[in-house]
Amino acid sequence: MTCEEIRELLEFHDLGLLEPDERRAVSEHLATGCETCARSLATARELNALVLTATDLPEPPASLRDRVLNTLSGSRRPQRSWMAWTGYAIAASLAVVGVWLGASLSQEERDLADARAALKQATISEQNLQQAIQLLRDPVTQLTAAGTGPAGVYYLNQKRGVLLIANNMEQLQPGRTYQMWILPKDQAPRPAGLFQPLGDGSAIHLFPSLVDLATVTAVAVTDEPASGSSAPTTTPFLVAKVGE
Amino acid sequence: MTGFDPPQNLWLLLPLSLAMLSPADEAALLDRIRRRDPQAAADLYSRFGRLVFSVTLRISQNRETAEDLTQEVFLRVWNRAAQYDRKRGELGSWILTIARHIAIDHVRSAASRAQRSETPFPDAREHVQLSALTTDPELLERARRVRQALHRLDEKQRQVIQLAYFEGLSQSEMADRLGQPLGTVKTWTRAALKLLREELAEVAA
Repeated sequence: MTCEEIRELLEFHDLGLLEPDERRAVSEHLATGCETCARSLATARELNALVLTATDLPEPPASLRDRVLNTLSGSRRPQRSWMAWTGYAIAASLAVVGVWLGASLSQEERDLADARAALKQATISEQNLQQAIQLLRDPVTQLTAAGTGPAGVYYLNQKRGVLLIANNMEQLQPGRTYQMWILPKDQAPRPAGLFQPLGDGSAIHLFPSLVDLATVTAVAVTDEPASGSSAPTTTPFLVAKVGE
Repeated sequence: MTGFDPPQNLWLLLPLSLAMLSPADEAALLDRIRRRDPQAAADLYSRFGRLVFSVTLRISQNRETAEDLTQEVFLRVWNRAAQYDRKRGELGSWILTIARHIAIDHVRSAASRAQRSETPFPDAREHVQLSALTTDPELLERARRVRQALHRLDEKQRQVIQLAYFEGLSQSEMADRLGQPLGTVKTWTRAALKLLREELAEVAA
C-alpha cells in the first residue's frame, strides 16, 4: 500500500475496525517509522476524539463521582454488590440446573455489569478478568450450582474453562488454600487452580483451560496446603455434578 | 429510554480542553495515579468524568448503564495507568478509546441492543453554551468545525460514521447490517472521513 492508501485507513485503524489484512498492512507500514504517516495517525486520533465527543456533554449525576472514587479507593464495592447477582445466579441455577446461561444473562445484563465491576475488585488478574467476562458472555456456557453452607455457581465452557463464584466460604487457616478440582469420568481428579476467599467469605476463581465437558462428571473444591496438592487431601465440598 | 432529550441541566459544548493536559501535567497526574494517591482519583474524575459519561451514554443510550460503564472505565484506567504510553496519544484520547471499547463491548450484548433506540447526531445549533472552563480556543474551533462537518454529511455518510464510532462495526459488518455491497460502504466511509479530515486541516492551516 502507498502512504496515501495507508492514510485513508488510519481513523479506522485507531478505532480497531480494520479487516485483518488491512490492519496488518497499516501496522507494518507504521512500524517502518514513516514520519508522515505517524503524524497522520496523530491527526486521525484527534479526529476520532472529536467525533466521539461531538455530542452534547450531559452532566453526570453527582452520585456517580462518589461511586467512582469509592471504587477506585477500594473502600467499598460498587453500589449493587455482586453478591446480589450471585444470589440471583444461585437461585436461577437451583431452579433450572444446567440451564443455558445465555438467556438469563441477557435479562440480567445490568447485574452482569456489576459482576464485572466486582470481578475487577476481586483478586483476579486483568487477563483472567477478561477471560471470565468472555466466559460469562458466551452463550454456550453452562452453569451448575453447588452447596448450601458455602454456596457457589460453576460456569463451564469447553473452550474457556471453569469459573466459580461462591460465597459463605470459611476463612482459611494460615498456610492453607482452596483448590478447585475437575473430576473426569473414570480418572483421577484434575487440579484446577488455587484461590483464596475475600474477607467477606466470597470467592471468584477462574481456571482458564480447555475442558472436555463430555468427560467431566463433577467439579469440587478442597482445602489444601498453600502450594496446592496433586490429589485432594481433604473432603471435597461445593461439589456440583456436570452433564446430567 | 434516555436519549438526547432537551437538556434540563447545564449542557456544555465540548469542554474537551478540560481533557487536554500539558505533557508535564499529564505525567504528574499519571505518576500520582500509579502511586494510588487518592487525590489523583478525584482529579482524574474531575477532568474526565463528564467526557467518559458522555461517550458511554451516547453509545449505551441508557443513563444507568452509562453510570455503570463510567465506573468500569475509570477502574480500567486506574488499573492500567502503568501501561499507558504517551507516545500512543494524549491521555484524554486514550481514556476515550477505553470508554468507547467498554461501551461498545457492552451494547453488543443482545439485551442491550433490544433496549437501544436510534438517536441522530444532536443538532449542532443547540446547546452552544460554552463553558468558562474552555481555555483553548483553537481546540474549541476544531471541535466546532468537526461538529458542523458531521451535520453536513449526507444521511448515508452519517450512518456509517454512527455505525463505526458508536456501534463499533467494521466496513464489512456495516455492509451486512445495511444490506449494501462492501464497495458502496467503503465509498460512503471514504467520503465521510475525507470531509471531516478536510475540515480539521482547514483549521490547522
